[in-house]
Amino acid sequence: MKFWPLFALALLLLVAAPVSAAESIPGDADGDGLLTSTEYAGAALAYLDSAYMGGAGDLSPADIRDAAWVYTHWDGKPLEVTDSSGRTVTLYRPLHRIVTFSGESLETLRSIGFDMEKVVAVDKYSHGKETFFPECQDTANIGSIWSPDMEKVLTVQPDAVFLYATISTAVCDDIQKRLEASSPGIRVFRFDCFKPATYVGEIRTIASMTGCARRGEEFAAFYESTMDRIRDGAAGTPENERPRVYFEYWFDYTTVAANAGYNEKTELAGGVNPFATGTAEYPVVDPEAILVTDPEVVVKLVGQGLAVGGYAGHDIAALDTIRAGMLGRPGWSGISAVKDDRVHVIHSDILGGAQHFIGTAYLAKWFYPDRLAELDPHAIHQRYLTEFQGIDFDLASEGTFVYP
Amino acid sequence: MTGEAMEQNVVIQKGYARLKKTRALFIGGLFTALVILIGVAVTLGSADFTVDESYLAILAGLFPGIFSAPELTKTIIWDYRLHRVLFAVCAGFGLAIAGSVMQGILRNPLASPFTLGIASAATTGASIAIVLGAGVAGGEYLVITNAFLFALLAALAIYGMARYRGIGSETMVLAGIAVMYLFSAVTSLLQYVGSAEQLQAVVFWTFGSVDKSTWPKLAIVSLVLACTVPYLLYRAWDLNALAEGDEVAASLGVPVERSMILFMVIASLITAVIICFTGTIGFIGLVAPHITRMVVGGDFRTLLPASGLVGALLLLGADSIARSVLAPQVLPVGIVTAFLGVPFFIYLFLRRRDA
Amino acid sequence: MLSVPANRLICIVLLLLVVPAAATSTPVARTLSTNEPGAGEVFTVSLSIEGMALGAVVETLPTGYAFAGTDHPEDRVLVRGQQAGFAVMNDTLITYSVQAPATGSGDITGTWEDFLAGSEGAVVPSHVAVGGIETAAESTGAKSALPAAQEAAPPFAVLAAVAVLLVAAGRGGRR
Repeated sequence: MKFWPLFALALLLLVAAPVSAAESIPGDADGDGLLTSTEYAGAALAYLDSAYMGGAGDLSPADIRDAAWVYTHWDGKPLEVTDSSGRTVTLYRPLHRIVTFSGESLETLRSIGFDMEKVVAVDKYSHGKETFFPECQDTANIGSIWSPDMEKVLTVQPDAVFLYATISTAVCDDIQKRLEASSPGIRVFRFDCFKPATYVGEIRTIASMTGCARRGEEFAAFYESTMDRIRDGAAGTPENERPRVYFEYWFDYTTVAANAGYNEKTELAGGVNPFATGTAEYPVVDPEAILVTDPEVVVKLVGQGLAVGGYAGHDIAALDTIRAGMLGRPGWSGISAVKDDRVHVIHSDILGGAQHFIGTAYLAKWFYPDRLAELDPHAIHQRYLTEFQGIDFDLASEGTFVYP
Repeated sequence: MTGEAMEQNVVIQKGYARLKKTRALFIGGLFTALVILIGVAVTLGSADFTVDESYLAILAGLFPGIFSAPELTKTIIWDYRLHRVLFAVCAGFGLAIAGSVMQGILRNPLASPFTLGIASAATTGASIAIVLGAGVAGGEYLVITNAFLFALLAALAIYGMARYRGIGSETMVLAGIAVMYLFSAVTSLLQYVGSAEQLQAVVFWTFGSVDKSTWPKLAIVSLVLACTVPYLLYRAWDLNALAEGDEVAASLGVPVERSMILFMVIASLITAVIICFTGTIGFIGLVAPHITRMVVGGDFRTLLPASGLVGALLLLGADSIARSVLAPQVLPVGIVTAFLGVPFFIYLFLRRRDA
Repeated sequence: MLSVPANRLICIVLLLLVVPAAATSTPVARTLSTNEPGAGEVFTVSLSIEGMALGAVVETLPTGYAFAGTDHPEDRVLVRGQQAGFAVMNDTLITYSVQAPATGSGDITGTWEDFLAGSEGAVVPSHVAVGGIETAAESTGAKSALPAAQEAAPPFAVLAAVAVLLVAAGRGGRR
């Protein structure tokens, strides 16, 4: 009847098993790197044969499920993933167990709708964020990139590990080397997930890797539209008409410059930082120079080094105190920013990391209040938390991120 | 010979025999303790293996035909734990021996890679590599080779200064402190100039840890030890002579100048090759020889191997503590050994008052 | 009984109430063109599939009954003895034919697997008996598709089904 062609196919699959031992899509009988519908159907039947009908076969339930997944999400083709360090890895199967060494990549996975149950270990900082990552409280803790718990990483048997791409490269390279040397089955991917220049590309890459293309595209569009509106604020304004901004870091009279991320975001939002000369990232500024330069907007950073507010606490009063302290500095009452009431405090939780677009939106709105009157960073933030991150956090009553 | 003289002879001989027995017992005991500690240290780690599983994995790696163990266990034990334990043993061994030699030829009980500024120089070399990206080798060996070269540079500087002013106890310490301050200042400048990231990297390097060990690095250190230690043992008697003073040594036929240079080079080489991989691990080179001297005396023929074993025990013990006290976090071992120095110096201080 | 149009309608309503209820708990539901085929009659079995894009269904026929062909593509069907495996690839309906023996009864059982969701389960068994005659060995005693064994059928559907049956019993003749 229809036995013989099927039998031959099953036989071919058995014979092809040694071939497929060199990586290939499960069920790809001729090993040509494409799982056609015929091959998939054959694989499904071979699996049914061995699982239910007493036949012989080497496709496990995991194999046929992976084959179905690849057939659906990657059109039956292996996926070539190029991470942010430029390395290309070919995936023949979906990822089932991911370990993230960075909170930013973990957050991005959540934004694109990845099944968080498949994240089997997280870094210690994410592990400690009870409000922001409540579902990760029971996940394994593998330390940080500076002191990684390599044994724990191996014990959770991941198939993928996420590390930073452009920061802490020496230690990340070291972790990558050690993992790849001891366990070739573990794929290491380098993603930053916090840089405006590369984040959108990373969202799409991770989304296609994890089969979350639809949701990933929604999130990418959300992010891109916000960034576009931010750029609209400064568009067309020549350099000498852009607002002069004094951006103060956690420490008094320390500003940001050069390659510091906060400097990049200030410029993205259309501000000009007159103190950003030289190569030091966090230079100390002479207080007199501030008075002389007469900034039009003053932005103060809080969080981590100056730990108030953020996701951890609803503490408007503390931010107000910090702001008042700055206003009271000698000579500051004569600065344009103070006279025009354009002194703001912002928390690093939304200006750094994966949420940088929210903080940058606030900056842009402060720099160009007229042109960006319709931009609502608060609503963007709430939408991000509720719709994409899926956490129950009401900005009206919890957390403090900006003041005023 | 008179009867009295013969009696005295016997007493001395018996005393000496007793001392020899103490030394033999001490070394034997140290060796056994080390083997036991290695056995314990291999079972420490965040992966939850029982003692049997750990040893089975070791045996399965050595004799794959006869024993078998789960792949994951074997990977963790062989790729992450075993070489680290053995590295701690070799590093402790080497640092202690280097410390003994330095203390001997410089005739200063406070001489050690730390107090002579060799460790600070290595840190400077590492900082230059991390902050400026400048060095002789590229890629992952940049920091290692820089640290190594700078350590040797410092040793050379110390020796040069000491030769110029004449080798005396105080001169040695002064020269060492000068070198230490010089290199520390350079390191501080580099830390200030560097980015926050680079600063963190330098600071981590100074903590000292054996976590970065790999089988190739262990091979390099073992090779250096295998070449240098037998030679040192062979020349142990000359070390004894040098420890008595230049004139004494010269009168005994020891080529003083050449020997001192050679021993200094060897001790610096051993130190440099270890701390370039581990970062600065202090006090092993200082404490181990002193502890050993208390038990077996100052004869380098036993002092060398014994202090080596004591150093190995100290460092492996410190590493095991570092791994367990804040589990699953791993403290850098250099922090634990730094705490070791405290009781030691208190002891020295107390001893002085008695004298 | 089924010759009376009203009763036929009631039985269809019965089935319609029951089948969706079954479908909400499993993605695969089976309907037979007849539960009581004649001797040697070829009847049709329909598998309706909902919410399962890539998966499989394995049907097991009772002894004596034989697989008699299907409209599902050849390269997606595997028949072995009393078992027939179907690879489901974005299908919503699979039909196959079964030839009844001279006599015999039993349950057509099935298992489904959803490869994308990673879940599996059983298809509610369908009882079939030639001429309505139960042969002792495999009879489960249940004559209609009304569930005693149905998992998690919404109470509404059961009550409605019972009500309709009572009405049917009251209206029509006895079996």
